[in-house]
Amino acid sequence: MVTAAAAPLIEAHGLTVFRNGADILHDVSFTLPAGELVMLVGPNGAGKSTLLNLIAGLALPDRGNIVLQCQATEAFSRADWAARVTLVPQLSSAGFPLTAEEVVELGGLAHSTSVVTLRQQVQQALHDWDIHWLASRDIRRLSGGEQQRCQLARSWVQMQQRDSLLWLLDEPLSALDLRHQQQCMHKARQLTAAGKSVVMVVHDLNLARHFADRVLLLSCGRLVAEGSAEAVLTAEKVSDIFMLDVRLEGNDLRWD
Amino acid sequence: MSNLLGQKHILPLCLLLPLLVVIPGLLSGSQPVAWLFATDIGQTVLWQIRLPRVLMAFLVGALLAWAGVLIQGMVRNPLADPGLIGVSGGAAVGAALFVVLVASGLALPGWGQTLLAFGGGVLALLVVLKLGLSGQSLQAMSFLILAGIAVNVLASAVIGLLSYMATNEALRQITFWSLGSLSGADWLWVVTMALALTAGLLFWPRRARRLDALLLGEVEARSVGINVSQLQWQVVLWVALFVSLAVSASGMIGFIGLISPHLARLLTGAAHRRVMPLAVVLGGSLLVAADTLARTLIAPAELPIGIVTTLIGAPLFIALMVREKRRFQW
Repeated sequence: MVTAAAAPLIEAHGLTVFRNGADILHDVSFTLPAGELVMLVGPNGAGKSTLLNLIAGLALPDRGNIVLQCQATEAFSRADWAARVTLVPQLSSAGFPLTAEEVVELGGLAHSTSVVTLRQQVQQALHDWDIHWLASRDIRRLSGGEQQRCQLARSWVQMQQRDSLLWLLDEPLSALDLRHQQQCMHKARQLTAAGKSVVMVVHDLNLARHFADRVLLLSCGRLVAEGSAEAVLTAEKVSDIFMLDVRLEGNDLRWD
Repeated sequence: MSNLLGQKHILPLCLLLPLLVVIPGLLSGSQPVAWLFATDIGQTVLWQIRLPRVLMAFLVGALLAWAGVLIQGMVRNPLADPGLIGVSGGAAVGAALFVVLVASGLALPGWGQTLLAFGGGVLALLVVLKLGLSGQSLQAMSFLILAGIAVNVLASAVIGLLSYMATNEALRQITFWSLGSLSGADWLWVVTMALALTAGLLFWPRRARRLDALLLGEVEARSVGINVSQLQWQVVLWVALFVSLAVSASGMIGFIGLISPHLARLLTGAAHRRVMPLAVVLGGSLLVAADTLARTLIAPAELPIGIVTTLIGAPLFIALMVREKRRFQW
């Protein structure tokens, strides 16, 4: 007997975005099954963040559409969308003296859980992301990496919701030290093991080769390649797209 | 470094502070305290003049401070103030227009003035936001202030034009608005503004965390599930409501809406569940204190309240700007 194949988590059909007359995304289509760690790679300006924003439901494509669990984007209110998909935007500077704990708490805004449960989840997230000792500090006085961990902890609270499916991370590792990078990857694995999906924008191609279940390679707004890390991040493709002489040594890409 | 005041300090302070300013405000004046209680005239002065005036001062200050909290949070700019970004100016144009229309013989009901002030406030706010609300870079911040200046200049030009066309009686009233004065206090205004304050108390506390999320940025707020444009509209309408009530009751009183939220944030951080009540009470108390000074410093004459608040507020504003400037220079 064949078990019913799980419906894909997200289907994107022909996503196209125009900005000032140029298309910054052109006819991008893909399908993401549940339980996968997907990495989005590509040169600067390839359209990675734009694509992430579309998946997060923050913007609508000029052409094409996104189907989340067989329902079109338009069917969801902002709160419904946020209950399912959590976005961690690129780090931006905070201007007001909220404490780290207050920032993390905001992950519970789309929650329908009780205050007590939320408080536990916030405390757990503060510990998980190693910022419990910063909880009552002014967010503006924290270092870049510490601020990034606050954002990640906030999104972690948001991911604890019953309906949550997808964790979107825009360059989450750029400000983190080695240990916290590993911690972040570990957390991502924890989610995929629970049947949720993770999509992250990364610049470290070797990290993508080691960790990703699937890689989407974007260049100039087009989806150039999609598939397993080994199949997508070959020396030839990477050399071609990033315009750099790259070779494969063992399982790692090397360049001079 | 944690906050000076925590959640548990807010309520006692909010109950205590108004009493500390309202009672001296009630008792101080050109006559001795005993006179207020011993004579019939004293009793009338106390209940029909002093009490409504002190309460109105508190309510006007509270509403302006509340508008300041909301607008600063929405535009993520700690220098935004209903006066600086033109809302008060727009509301004053509406109020002045009403005076001129009435003077020219139109029979309009009294609440028409608040309605016109509200319309002027909303319009001014929309123009400023259209020009100045884009991201959180330094440029966007200065654009907002510049847009506010533009709207303010336009508003004062229109008020100038209206005063030029106005009759003597109308001119006197228009001048009254542009300087700001609490001498028009009566129980009707006190009740009206108390109702507005109560309505705000029913509406905003449940939305405090949404305002917190907006402090992080629009993208962040939307990604935690907030309908940002709806929230922005709510802020615009409430700010216009609060400011237009304050302006039609007492004219343009500057800086209360700027410094009260600031003081509150210095004391207790930026979380709106603490800043909102604290700033509202601070705003009310500050204006009661300023009004008490205005009435007693050169008694029996009276300083215009707008001058007193500006004398206190402008140096504070300059100090804040110096601080902001340091923050952006690293």
